[in-house]
Amino acid sequence: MSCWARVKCKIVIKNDASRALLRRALEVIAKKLNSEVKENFLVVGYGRERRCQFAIPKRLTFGNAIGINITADGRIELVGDFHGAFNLVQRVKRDLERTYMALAIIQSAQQLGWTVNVNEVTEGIVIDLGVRR
Amino acid sequence: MRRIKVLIDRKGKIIVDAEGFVGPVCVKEVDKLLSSLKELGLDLDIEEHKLKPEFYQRVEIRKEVKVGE
Repeated sequence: MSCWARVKCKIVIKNDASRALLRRALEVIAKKLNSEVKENFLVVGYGRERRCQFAIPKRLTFGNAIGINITADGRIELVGDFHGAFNLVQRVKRDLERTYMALAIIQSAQQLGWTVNVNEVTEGIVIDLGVRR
Repeated sequence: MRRIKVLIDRKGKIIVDAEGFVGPVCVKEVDKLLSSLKELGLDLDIEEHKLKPEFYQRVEIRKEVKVGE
């Protein structure tokens, strides 16, 4: 019994800048999972496999990794055999979206010449931006 | 110092709070940030927009003109 699934994220990858940001966000997530980011990785599940643009190798009940693909319309999908690991995958999805948002805000603010200060608090991630005149 | 505080909560909701601005400048600065985020694939919908009393304050510009000197 397996549970091959595709979980869609809110982020849309439009260009090289957003792809580079996705890679950085994935590296943050992989580090939290004591893993790393692989590119062009074969994600294997119970009787099924799929090559993914990115992957975070992780021993799951039937799967070998959490695969990450960018669809034709730029959406991000988490792909793999998530049997028994659905909570983990939902957490990865949420963490990926939040990390991507935080990195995007930091990068945008720096491009605007603003100062940036980041803190992780109980409520979430606080980004304090100093707006110069 | 003019500041924009952004909170990304545990569910991924973003709450923006602008401090130290007078007049509609805060809206312009937040818009700058939002359009920059759009380029990075984050198209954020504003669900709720609360304007603080400072938004309605006028920026006074004084100019002294001396005549006949």
